[in-house]
Amino acid sequence: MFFRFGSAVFLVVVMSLIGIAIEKQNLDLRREISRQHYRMDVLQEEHARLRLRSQQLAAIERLSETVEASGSNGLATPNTPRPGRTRGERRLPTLFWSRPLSDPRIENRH
Amino acid sequence: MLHQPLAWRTKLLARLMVFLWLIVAARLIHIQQFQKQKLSASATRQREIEVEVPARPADIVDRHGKLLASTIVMPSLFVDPTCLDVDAEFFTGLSAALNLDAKLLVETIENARERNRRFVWIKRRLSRDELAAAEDLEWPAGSHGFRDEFLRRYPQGQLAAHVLGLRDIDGRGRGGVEQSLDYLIVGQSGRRRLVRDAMGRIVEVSFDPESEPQRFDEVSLTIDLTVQMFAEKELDRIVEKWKPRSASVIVVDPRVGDILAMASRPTYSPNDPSDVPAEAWKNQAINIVYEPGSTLKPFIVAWALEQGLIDRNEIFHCENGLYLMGRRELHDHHSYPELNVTDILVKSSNIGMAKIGERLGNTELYRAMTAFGFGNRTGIDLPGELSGLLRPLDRWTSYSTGSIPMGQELAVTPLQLITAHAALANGGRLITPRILSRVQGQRHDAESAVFVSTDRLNRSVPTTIVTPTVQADIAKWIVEVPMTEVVKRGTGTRARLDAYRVFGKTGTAQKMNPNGGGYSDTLHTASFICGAPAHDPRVLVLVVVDEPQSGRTHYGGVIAAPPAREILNRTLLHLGVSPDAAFRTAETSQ
Repeated sequence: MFFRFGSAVFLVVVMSLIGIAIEKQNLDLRREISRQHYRMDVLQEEHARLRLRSQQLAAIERLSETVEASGSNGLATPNTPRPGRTRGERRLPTLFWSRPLSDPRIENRH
Repeated sequence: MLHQPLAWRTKLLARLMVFLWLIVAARLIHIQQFQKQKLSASATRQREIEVEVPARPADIVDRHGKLLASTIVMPSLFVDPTCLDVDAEFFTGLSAALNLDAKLLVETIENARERNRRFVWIKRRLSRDELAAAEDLEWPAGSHGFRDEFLRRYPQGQLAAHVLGLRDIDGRGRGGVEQSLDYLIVGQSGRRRLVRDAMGRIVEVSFDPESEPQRFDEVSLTIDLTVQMFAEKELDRIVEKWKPRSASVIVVDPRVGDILAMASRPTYSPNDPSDVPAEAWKNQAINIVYEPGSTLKPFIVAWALEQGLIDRNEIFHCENGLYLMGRRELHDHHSYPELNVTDILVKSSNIGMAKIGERLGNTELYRAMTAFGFGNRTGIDLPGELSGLLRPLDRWTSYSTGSIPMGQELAVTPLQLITAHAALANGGRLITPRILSRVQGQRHDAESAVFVSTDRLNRSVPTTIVTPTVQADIAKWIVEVPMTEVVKRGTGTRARLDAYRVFGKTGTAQKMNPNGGGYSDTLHTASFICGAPAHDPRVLVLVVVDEPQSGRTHYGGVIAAPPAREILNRTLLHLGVSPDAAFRTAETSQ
């Protein structure tokens, strides 16, 4: 009798604990999704700013003025071939995606 | 004996316990069943808030994907005047931080406080420095806040300003495609549910694809930014050299009606629209009308050929430069005894054209004008397009028979004129000019519950309307013979190119005297339209210069032809159009 009662209580407690753990995990995952959405918003904004900046710097009118000015000064134009790097100078391209992820606004908001 | 009272008490206690449990159970059932909705709604209200998420306006790009307009988020500062209990020193610091007038700032806040307003914008779209300076101030608790707002930026500066238009401080499109394509650019705001903890901190943002903002990523225009730059640079040279009242350039691909460039002067910077003179807001390519002059003549000849009223080789007597048409005297710039149809266009003979006009009569002249689209808007996706001025036929007189063939008594927009010439260049098909190329992005499809590409939704690209005008061989003859001869040996020789066979037509129209009394002798509109290669036109350029001030000349062939030639040449090279080898060989052998 006591054993059956004890077993039932034990089962109920175990199931409750499992339920709580699952609920907690669920909450963590939802928070992670929220965080990912926030990161995506920040990255989208960063992408928009960087795209805008790059297009401003590469604005066709600006480049043409540079080319015309350098052409009239006898300086090298962007199409002028440049000597290749020597073996010692060669560097591997590296992924550089740390800035948005280390942005304090991403981590501090949650 | 001792057990009896105990049993009685036990029973009483047990019954009491059962009764109490029943009360608790009943209360639970009441809460769970009958008050469930009300209580859960109340709990949700305490726990969750819903906020509107505005859709980021779509970027605008040119036909090659170069960015023309984009949107970034900037913070705007607002205050609650009732909580802003500070001294004058604070306002001095705030106005210095935000570069505002301290006196005006105090007045604004005092007025708002008197009216018991709880929300006042201090400055919208702060720069990073301004934001940092504003955050450094010692604000009273709950007195201020920042709200993110979109700021539209135009990375190409003044290029294509009139085509793009701009967005005002509230994000509404004003002018250009920002206004006409507003329904594609702004998108639809979405909503997001935020979950708060007991302290009011946001712990979760619920993501529901169906309630996310719906927007397009990019709106692509037919504009080619490189061609646009060629047009703008030539316009700047025109302004510098001739100091006109206004000027405009349009470059079109006549095969499909794509606008490759559209520029006008005076202009403005969409990034800094303050202190722009009223005239600069006008897109001179569609918002003004002018008498087209001789640039209209090819349509009259084409229509007369179409109706079989003249022959391509027919010779007209041009009365040695003076023709009495009723009581009206018509003059040519030079006296010609006889001219064939080609030479009437090459020499731009008004008398020859008047005689062709007499063959057609007013009814056919009117039909010709309407067939080539004059008097009606072209239907381009730009706001404020004028329909030109083509009077009803019953108001035409015998003067009209001589005036219309010379490009007088009607007014057109530059866009109408180049659209009509594009019809001649593409074999007689009048095509609606196009500025919107396509829209790109993804939208959530409620039925399939997935994001689908807008290409598959197949929407928003405007329908191109094609209307036949004259037969293809007539249009081809007009372009390849008379209009090519205009450039080769006529009034448009300044537009000749070494590598391409260019066709064109000059236009020099007198303007009406502003004080009344007919046409002015000093005010003119000089224009030139040209295209190449003549055997398969790929590019058409129209330059219109309104009231050139400096210099002695006012002829379209002198003022407008050289810049049109430059734009045409550069555009053909940019598009990689092969030089006309046969033409070069023929020219060399001559």
